[in-house]
Amino acid sequence: MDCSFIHMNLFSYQEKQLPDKENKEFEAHLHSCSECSRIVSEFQSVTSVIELRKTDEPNPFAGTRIVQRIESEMESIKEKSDPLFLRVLRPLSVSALLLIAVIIGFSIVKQGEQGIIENINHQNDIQSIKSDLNIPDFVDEDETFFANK
Amino acid sequence: MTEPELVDGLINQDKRAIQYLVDLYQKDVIKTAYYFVSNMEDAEDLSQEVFLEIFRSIARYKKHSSLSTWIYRIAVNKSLDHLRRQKRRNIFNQVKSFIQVSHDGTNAISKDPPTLDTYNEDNEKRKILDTAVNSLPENQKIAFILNKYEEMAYKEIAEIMNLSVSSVESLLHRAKLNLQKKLVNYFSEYIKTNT
Repeated sequence: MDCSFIHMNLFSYQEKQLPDKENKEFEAHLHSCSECSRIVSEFQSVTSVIELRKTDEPNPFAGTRIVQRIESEMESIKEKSDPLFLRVLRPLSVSALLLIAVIIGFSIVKQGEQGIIENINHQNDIQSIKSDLNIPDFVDEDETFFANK
Repeated sequence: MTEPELVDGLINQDKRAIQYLVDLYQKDVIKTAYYFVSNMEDAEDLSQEVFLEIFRSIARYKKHSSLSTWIYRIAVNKSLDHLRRQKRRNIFNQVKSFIQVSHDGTNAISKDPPTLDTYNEDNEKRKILDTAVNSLPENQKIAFILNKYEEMAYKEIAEIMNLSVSSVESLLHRAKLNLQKKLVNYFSEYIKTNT
């Protein structure tokens, strides 16, 4: 058996796939050839990484992140598949409603102010008529009675 | 939940079905991606892409193969896409650094010979194996990873790769021969420089 047979059968030897006779010859060669013996040992050392890698575990929260990603994708699909009304007109109609509410609010405040002004003018008119006709101001007798007590 | 119920649930965007799918397959998907890309964080990111692809194309899933075979196929394809992108990036970076160092008259693309200290490290062993596996032709690499890392039977690999069992046997045989050749060359060089 020569070195090339060893080099060509490293996996078969490692996986115990060599027939008995060849396996014995393989091992006998390793005893007599230091370079092949070294190569077999290095090969086994490097390929042991395969078993080592199988023990590496992923982050336990990886699943949560996957679900979150799918859910956000679902949301974006939902948004894209919404009809025109929901995508464009909904925000527009909300803005329009807000604008209407603000205008109504302003007009209510304005009307209130107008009412107060009108009320003051009305009081002034009464006062001037009363003074023209020499009508004395109304005196609440109950109030003066209690005030005197 | 049975497989048809799961598929229907996914088509109807049922949150319970999505959670069930992720619980059932996340570990397999992440590990498959990890065996290809050799980096757990990249594998976790890739697994998100894989599940998104499952979610997007579940309506097109044809029940000729089992759901798990279909999912493995997506995971393998996404991993290979990632490796191709990485390779393109590396080539671009190498060209970029070559152009940059040409002005200094020094060559940046030089590989350090292995040293005994680093060689004995697990990381170094991983690098050696990854380099050898990644240099295999794509089909040989898929067959080798699914067989040696995932411990899949030839029949399962054949289903995932859409090949006959004998083609998978032949791919694996050639993958092992190529790997042995590459590793023996590397070890011979290493032994020569360290004796």
